[in-house]
Amino acid sequence: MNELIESAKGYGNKIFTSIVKHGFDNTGLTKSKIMFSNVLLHIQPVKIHKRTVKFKTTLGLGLITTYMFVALAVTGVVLMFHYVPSTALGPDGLPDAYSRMLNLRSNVFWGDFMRNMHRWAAHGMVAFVALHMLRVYLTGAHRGGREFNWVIGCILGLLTVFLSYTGYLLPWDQLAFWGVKVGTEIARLAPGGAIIRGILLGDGDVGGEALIRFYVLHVAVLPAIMGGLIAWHFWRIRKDGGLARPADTSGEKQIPDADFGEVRNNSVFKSSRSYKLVELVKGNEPKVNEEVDQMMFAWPKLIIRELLVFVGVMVLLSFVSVFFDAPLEGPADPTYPTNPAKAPWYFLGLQELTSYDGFIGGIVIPGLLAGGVMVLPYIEMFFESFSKTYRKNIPGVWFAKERALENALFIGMYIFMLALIIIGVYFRGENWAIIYPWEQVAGGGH
Amino acid sequence: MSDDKKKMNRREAMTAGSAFALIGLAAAGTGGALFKYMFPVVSYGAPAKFLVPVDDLPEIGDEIFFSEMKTVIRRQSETEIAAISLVCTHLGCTVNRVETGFLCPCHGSQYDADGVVVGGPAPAALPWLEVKKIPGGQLEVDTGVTLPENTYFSIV
Repeated sequence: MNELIESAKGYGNKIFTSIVKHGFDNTGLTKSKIMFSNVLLHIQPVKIHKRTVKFKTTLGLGLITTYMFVALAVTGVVLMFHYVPSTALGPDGLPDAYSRMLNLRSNVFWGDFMRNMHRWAAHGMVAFVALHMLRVYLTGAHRGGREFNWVIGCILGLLTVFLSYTGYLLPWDQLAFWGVKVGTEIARLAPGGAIIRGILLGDGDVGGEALIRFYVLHVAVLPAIMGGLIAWHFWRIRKDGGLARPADTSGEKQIPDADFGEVRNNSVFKSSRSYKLVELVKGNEPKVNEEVDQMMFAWPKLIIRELLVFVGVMVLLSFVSVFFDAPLEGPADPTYPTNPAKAPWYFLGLQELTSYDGFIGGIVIPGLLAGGVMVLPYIEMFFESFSKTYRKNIPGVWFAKERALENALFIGMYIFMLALIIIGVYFRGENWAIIYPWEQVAGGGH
Repeated sequence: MSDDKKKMNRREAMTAGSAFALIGLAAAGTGGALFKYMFPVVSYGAPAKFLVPVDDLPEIGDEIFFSEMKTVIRRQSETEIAAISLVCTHLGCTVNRVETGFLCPCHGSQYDADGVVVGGPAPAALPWLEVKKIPGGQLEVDTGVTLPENTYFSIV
């Protein structure tokens, strides 16, 4: 009998070690193995700078954005099982796409929750992309070899907005119809915009063809591009040397070594420090400097922190989705928009701008802002290269004195956009007239 | 030998050049075809013209709305009528009729009763449409034609 148990144990062990090829002890070798033998963990480095795990370095904003994307991908696929991208009228006289929304809200088990989660995560992702971008700029992390990753990040931000836009067409309610109507009319004002509009709509006007095209963009094309760019964005972080940090961090207060427990050295090099030599680089001397002292294993401290942020994001999303229903307006009425007809909050700044002038507010200013922000590190580089005034960059430091001007301008831009959004949300009423927030009527706006 | 290190020789350059040229050509062809594939060929949209029986016309000085066609028909006198489009010239929302004229709920364009812009971002007046008398006691309104304001048509 004992022999049988022993055999079973041995067999079980063999199966386990064929899947998990490392132990869980506290040695540096194991901590390294855990990182590079796990497909999910191996995109992260085995050793990271101690600054990486400090909350104030990143505020976890990029991570939260990523988790929002994961939540959106999962809930999005789940919702696809119950959705039909069709404007054909059903027996109840409602377009198919819209009655599927009603179905999700009232009949399907968990349908309401999934839809709420998808919508709130979408809103959250837009917000956290903006915050992440602000963090990166204010810490100067877009410079010092990371310029191109900033460009990729900006494209990811634009994709996030475009995914939101294509997504809110799908319920085929009033918000969807008039949002797309106005959006594609703005596109028409751009040079060559009529062609882009035709390709997006697949027809002369917003209708069933537009719904199918936006659906395919939303569930396949854009997420695929987004996934690829996210991988590129992460890969570049590693290739650009990890999170931005000042050249000399020896003066900074770090998490003391004692907090990480004892790391035993079981490498073949028995000298006390050799396990810290984790890579060989081309050059005349090994990469050994005081920085090595400030590196730590990513496992478990970083990974656990990332998991905690993940749990936090999911708990928060679940709470919001249980207590707040995702908005759904009346079915699309191509005859009359709601009054006022308001876009979701992240487009209300744009709507406010276009309410002064269609071309300047809808094309010129947003185009200049998006394009200018995208090449911002190169604009900074330009001034540094061609003017005598050399401005020192200290990557990874919040509100560096040397960058006070740049930071002030960037914060100013955020305040400008926020002010437009606040006006659009709270100070615009029926027929887009200026009102006080307490005069706000129901209808439109989220 | 040191030259070899710095750049390709002619043979390599030719090979690499043709490889990239072929890939580029194929990509351009595919891109163009895809563009054409995506371009709309048939329109499923609503027709631009609609019919109104003469008997249905409003009283003198009155208006009736054809919501579906986003058009208002106004009668000036016994013999004169006009059709005005309700599509905002700014970004295509449908304007609401109010006492002072027309207001757009999307971006706040304001028009007077004749569709002339009096405020907001609208770049042009509301289009007045063409009305044709056709046999059988009917009028044909063409929403695809933009005429200047105060273009009235005789219905006799």
